[in-house]
Amino acid sequence: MMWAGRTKETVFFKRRFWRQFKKQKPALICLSFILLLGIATTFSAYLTGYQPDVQGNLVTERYQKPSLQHYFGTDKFGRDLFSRVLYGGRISLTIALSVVLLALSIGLMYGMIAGYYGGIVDAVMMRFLDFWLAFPAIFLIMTVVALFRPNPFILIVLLSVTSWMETARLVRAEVLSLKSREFVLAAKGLGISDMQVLLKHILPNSLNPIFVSAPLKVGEMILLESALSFLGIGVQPPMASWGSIINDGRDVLLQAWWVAAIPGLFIVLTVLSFNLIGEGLRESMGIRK
Amino acid sequence: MILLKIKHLSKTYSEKNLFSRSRKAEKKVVRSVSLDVLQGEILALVGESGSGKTTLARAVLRLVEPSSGEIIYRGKDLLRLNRKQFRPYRRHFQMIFQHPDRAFDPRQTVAAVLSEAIKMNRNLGKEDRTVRTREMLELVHLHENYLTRYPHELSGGEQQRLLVARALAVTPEFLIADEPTSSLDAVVKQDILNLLINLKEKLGLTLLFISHDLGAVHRVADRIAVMYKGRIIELGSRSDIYGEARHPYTKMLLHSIHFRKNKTSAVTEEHLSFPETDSSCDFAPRCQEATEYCRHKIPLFKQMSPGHRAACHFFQQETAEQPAAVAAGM
Amino acid sequence: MIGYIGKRIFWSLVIVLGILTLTFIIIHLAPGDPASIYIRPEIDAKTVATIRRQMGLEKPLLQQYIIWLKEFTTGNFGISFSHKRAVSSVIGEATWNTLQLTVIVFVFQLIVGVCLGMYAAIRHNTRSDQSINSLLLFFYSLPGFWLALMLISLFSLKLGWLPSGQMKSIILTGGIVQQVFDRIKHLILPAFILSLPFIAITTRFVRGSLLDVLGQDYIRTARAYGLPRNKILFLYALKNALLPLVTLLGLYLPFLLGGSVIIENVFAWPGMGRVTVNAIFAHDFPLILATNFIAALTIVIGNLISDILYFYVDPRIRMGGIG
Repeated sequence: MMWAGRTKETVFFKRRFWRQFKKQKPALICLSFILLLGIATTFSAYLTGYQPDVQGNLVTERYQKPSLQHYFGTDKFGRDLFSRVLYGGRISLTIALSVVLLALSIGLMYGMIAGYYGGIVDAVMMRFLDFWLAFPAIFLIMTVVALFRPNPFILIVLLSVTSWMETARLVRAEVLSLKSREFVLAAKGLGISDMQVLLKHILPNSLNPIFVSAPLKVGEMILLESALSFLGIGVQPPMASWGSIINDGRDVLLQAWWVAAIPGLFIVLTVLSFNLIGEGLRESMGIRK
Repeated sequence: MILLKIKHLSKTYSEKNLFSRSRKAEKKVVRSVSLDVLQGEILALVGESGSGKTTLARAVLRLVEPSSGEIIYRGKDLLRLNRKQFRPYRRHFQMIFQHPDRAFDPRQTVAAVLSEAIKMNRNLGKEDRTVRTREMLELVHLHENYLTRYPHELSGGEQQRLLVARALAVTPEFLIADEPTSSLDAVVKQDILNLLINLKEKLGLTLLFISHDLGAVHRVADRIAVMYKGRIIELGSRSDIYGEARHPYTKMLLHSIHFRKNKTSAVTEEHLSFPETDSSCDFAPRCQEATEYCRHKIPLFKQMSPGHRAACHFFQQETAEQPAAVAAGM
Repeated sequence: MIGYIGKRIFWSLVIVLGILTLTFIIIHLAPGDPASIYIRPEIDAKTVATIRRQMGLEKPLLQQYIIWLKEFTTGNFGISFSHKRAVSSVIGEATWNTLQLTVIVFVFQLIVGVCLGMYAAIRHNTRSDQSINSLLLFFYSLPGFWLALMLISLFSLKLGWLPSGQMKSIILTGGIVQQVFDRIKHLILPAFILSLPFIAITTRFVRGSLLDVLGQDYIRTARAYGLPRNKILFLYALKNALLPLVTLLGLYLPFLLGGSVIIENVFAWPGMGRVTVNAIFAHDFPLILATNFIAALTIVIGNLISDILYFYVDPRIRMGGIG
């Protein structure tokens, strides 16, 4: 039957959501910017003839001003900054997106279990969450980084395990309120199993706040990762991220302002875009802050 | 024949804490309720809001877990079963929820709502299921083209019908209707009442009809149970209750149909927040006839006449320590 | 009431203990002998043996844990390799320096945030409210370290108005007034940059709670009685809107500490953040663990204070409704 099944419902919801989201002009512009950036960083090899880590002539090609040849100039090793910024962006975005994906998954599962089982399980889990929240994330990250040589994988894990708590709280609150709602009771009353009720009725209805918080979290993670890389305890050379490129330009602020300024501008634009997308999502879903 | 035997069913809510479990915070919502539901009857459960009607109904269906008691169905105590063992029984008991606008998953269409219920019967093939979906809609007089709509797009009466359809889709024996008419206007109310009566006859259902609307109860009920602060305080046939109500509270309820602003029926916050005790008649603080005796002893649920019981000291002839006087006009 | 506060204090102690335990686990998880992270190659064999004995590495793990716990909680964090003196004295100085920065930031962001928030609430849904909102979003999206570099290159390197780092000028003459003035000059840039995200949070919070309060029945009643708008705002609404703000204090602390780690490093401000990062590069483990612990302790105490303040602010808790 054409009216049966789940696809139709999701289509309806998507359509209604898009109708609202399309009205959010700034969010749409930001979304296109992010998409464009994503494509550019992924296919950076096709956009520029330069390699991000190949050094140029150290005499003639150091600290060149932005020009038609090097759109963003060159750094102290004569490396093309345009290709480096795109490459660093790829690293920064990949880390931030992975962290958010991982943190949201952890938070979602944690919050669902705590909220659904309630009672002692919930109490213990929430106490643990409070404990984790009291832990100074950046200091923990720094300690671990000091013990193990940082690589993107460790960085992703560390950033994820220190940033899932907010999501878990959101999800738990949603699940708690949903589980006593009449439609959930009704589904249980029909004889549907607990697991099915959880997956079919509670989970889909608790996703909206997570959906809204995701872009904001991506922004936050880009900022945190770039700060760590800037301090030298994040992404390590020969790899580069926006934060570590800014660090390269730290000592030549006057002679070669572009080395520090341009990747920073990219961070600002990207984070701002994610935040505006988040605002747009919130507006179009009618969630009050 | 008794379909369902409820014995000393209680539900107590307590504030649980990881470190301490305080006794003070306990709230007894349903207090040792015993009630037989007879096959094929419409049993009405009346009482003001907060009396524990809905919790009792949900506890019977184990939508909230009862704290203690027994529910005997076909010789089996349903409360002895664990959640998983109980699940197959759920089909036999269905509930129509109080707020039709909250009883549907906002992401489901009418078709999805019904097919989810119909799928609970695993014997049906895909074809049969679609046929059955249409049948259910027909049964509650909803048009087929509602299938693609969302419940929130329907009117209150239509939502109520859909609720009935969903409940009946799993072919239950016993149906609980929790205030099915409270959110509807007068005309639609009549429609829904007629629908329930007709379906009951047609499908041979047993119905527990929860309401505070004594007019509606008078129309549909065979027997009536009156609930006050978590206890059943009077039980009898329709004529027993409407003709010879014994408990002052029942009388007060009946009175309030005719005289809205009656002095005796005035419910104040003070009355409702009066704590439930285990050493006095719960109604004593509001009862005009209450004596010192009522405030110090719980009345028994005594038989008045065959099938008619009430929990009031004034009618417990057998008791040696009777209240001093039986109020005039009783 | 005692019960509530007692419970919070007990819980805080549990958290502190948990953090200590986790720290202990981290040391023992590290590759190699736990002693090796404390001992650097250039130290002679005699010292090595002493340190090993001091750490009690030959004893069972549980006993080691208890000994370590005892030393740590009595403030004996060991000797810092890179500073060549007691960790507690290094941390003492650094904490004081960080405190100067963070207190200034906290007060500054509070003043600006409350004013902006009030203004936005009074003008809500107008153009100025929207521009404030956009500005806040922008503040929130700025990487502090980058902004710091940009402002340093403008105000310090190009214009020469403000120092580019450190807490005080190398050659400092004059009396106390000059010294204070010098310190303020050094504080301006780091404090301003660090406070931007907090201004954003505070403003949003104040705006939101003020709008909430203004929508309440008693305010509407007051308006209906014909009380002037400003009088309502300052007499009734503001008090009730700002009280919840005190509870944010505890929530700011982790972010404030995290932010100062970054800003202190850009401005070479000799506080906890800078000490920690330097310790990481020097693999100065006693120092790292100690700063970690102090930071955690600060956050726990901050949360405790904010819980207690919350208790006084919210009568619903005071009446014993929420455990």
